[in-house]
Order: sequence, then C-alpha cells, then structure tokens
Amino acid sequence: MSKSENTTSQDTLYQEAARAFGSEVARFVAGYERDDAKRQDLLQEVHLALWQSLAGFKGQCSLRTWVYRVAHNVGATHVQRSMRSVQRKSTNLEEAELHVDERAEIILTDRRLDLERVMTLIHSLEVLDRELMLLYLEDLDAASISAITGLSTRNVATKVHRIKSLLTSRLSNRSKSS
Amino acid sequence: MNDQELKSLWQSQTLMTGSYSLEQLQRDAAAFRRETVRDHTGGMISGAMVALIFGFYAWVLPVTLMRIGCGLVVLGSFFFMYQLQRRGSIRKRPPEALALPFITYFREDLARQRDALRSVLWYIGPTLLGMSVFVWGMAQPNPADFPWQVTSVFIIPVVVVVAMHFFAAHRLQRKIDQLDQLNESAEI
Repeated sequence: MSKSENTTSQDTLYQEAARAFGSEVARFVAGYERDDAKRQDLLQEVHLALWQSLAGFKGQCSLRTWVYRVAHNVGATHVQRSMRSVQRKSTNLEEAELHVDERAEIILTDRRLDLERVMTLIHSLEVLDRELMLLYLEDLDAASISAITGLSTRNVATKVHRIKSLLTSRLSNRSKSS
Repeated sequence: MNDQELKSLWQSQTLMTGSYSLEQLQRDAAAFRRETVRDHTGGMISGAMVALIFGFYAWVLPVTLMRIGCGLVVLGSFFFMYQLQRRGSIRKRPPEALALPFITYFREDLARQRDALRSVLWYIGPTLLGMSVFVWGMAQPNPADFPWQVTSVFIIPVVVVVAMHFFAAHRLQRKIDQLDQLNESAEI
C-alpha cells in the first residue's frame, strides 16, 4: 500500500472511530480526569494517539477494541504522570472495599449525585481496576474486557464480581443515609 | 439501583465528545514531535557545553593529572550524548503500541521506565571517574594536606541521585512483579 493510500485509510478509520465511539471515549476520559480543562486536554491527547495508532491498524482486533485500548492506555499513562507530580494515592479494590463504611456519608438525593459518587469511587481506584470498572459500566462482557485489558476472562469475571459488590455497597450506603 | 440502571445512568452522561479535524491532529502531532526534538536537543547542548568547558581546561591546566581528569570528563560527556541518542531512539515506540492490551502495554511501559532509571550509572559513571582523577590532580603534590571534605559537595548529591534512581527502579520492579503475578494466578 502506498503512503498516501495508507494515510487515507488512517484518516477514514479515525473518522469512523470518532463517530462510532466518540461518546464512550469521552466517558473513559472523564473516568481518568475530573478537572474540566485537563479533561479536554486529555481528550485531545487520546484523539491524537488514536489517529496516530490507526496507521498500524491491520484488523488485528475489532475497531472498538482498538479504540478502547488506546483510550485506556493513554488515560492510564495520564494517571501515572499525575500521580508522579502530586503523589496522589490510588487504592486497589481491596482497600476500596474496606473504606466503604469508613468514609463520611454525604446525603445525596438524586441520580446525578449517584453518578458523582460512582465517579469518586472510580477516581480512587488503581488504573487497572479503574479500567475494569469503566468497561463494566459500558456493559461489555467478560470476553471483550479480557481482549481490551489482556487479563484472563476468569480474572475479569472475579474482578467484575467484586466491582459489582463494591458499587452495590456504596450505593446502598447512600440509600440508607438519605 | 440495580446493575442495568447504574449502567444506563453512566452511559446517559452528557459529555463533550470533542471534535478534532484531521488538520488539527496533524498540527498537534507536528507540535509534539518538535517538543520531543527540543527536549533531546537540550540534553545534547548540555553535554556539548560540558565537553567544551572541560576540553578548554584540559588544554590550559598545568597539572597532568588534572588534564587527564578533564579529558575523561570530556569523554564522559561524549558517552552521555551517545547514550542519550541511543536510548532516545530505543524509547520511540510505534504509535500502534498504544493499542496493545493494557497489561502488556503497562508492563512494557514500567519496564522501560525501570531500565531508564537503572541506567543512571552509565550516565554519571564516566563523568564521575573524570572528576575523581581531576580532584586527585588538584590534591597533588601533598594529598594529605588537601581538604578532602570539600569533595562531599560532589559526592553527596551523586550518591543521593543514584540511590533515588535505584529506589524508584525497585518500586517499578515491584509493580511489574505484581502484574506478572496477576497473569500467573489467572493461568493456574
């Protein structure tokens, strides 16, 4: 394939990917950065990485898997970079489970605040657990999550089960306190 | 709230999806390349300046040992520039590497950072050797009278920097081991 044909295919693929998965990518990015201005920068970085990476896309996996992988890998790199600069501490699923009852319960009254609560939980997790939770919330099955993360389906199933319990306990705690 | 309600709540978020034209992406890519070249050039200029200054000293200083020390520092700075060039080109990953499964991508990234940290001795070592010979030359002809405590000004920062690099590399290795364990436990 000539260079110009390759570039055209890259551009077309990017446009297709941005159209089909733009909303999902924006939600993933929100899961990796809360600050509005920084989120816009990260979104731009993801789109740039996606466009560049598509030069090497030869159908190794589905376009959706490719887009999700790029978005999460750029997001995870962003989190690592931010942690180095501010020494923010992430927790793994085990620690997050322990802290369910310890954290101050704020009375939340509507679904928007439920979302805020889920977002807070997501942002407290380590990158791998965060990726799993974001993919779970996008309603992906264990096989798709496994293809994106590289974890075995069994490992994914175990972790997703724990994510579900964690979310249930967080949100039920909220219901009790309200 | 059940599973499905939670997922639909998550998916119903109204977020700006961003709209990036191909021209803008090309501009961003070019800007990123320029930034990388600028960072790389900064390191090369520093190395060249050290080589120039110590090359001058090697030319004008009267004591042979000091001149040898300066010559070694010059060689060290050339070695530093060579390493910078070599490692810089190794560090470049193809853009499609970003589409690797997370575990593979993350492990490779951590290993790359670990290796870069561990290579600190290759960067500092040759220059340190030159500086040692230089100081030994300064201490002549009566090394016993030389105020050796002055050398702690160089030695302490070097020891601290090397220790910090190795400590950080050790932490990264622990993360890599955790990732490997995660995959091993899945295979059992």
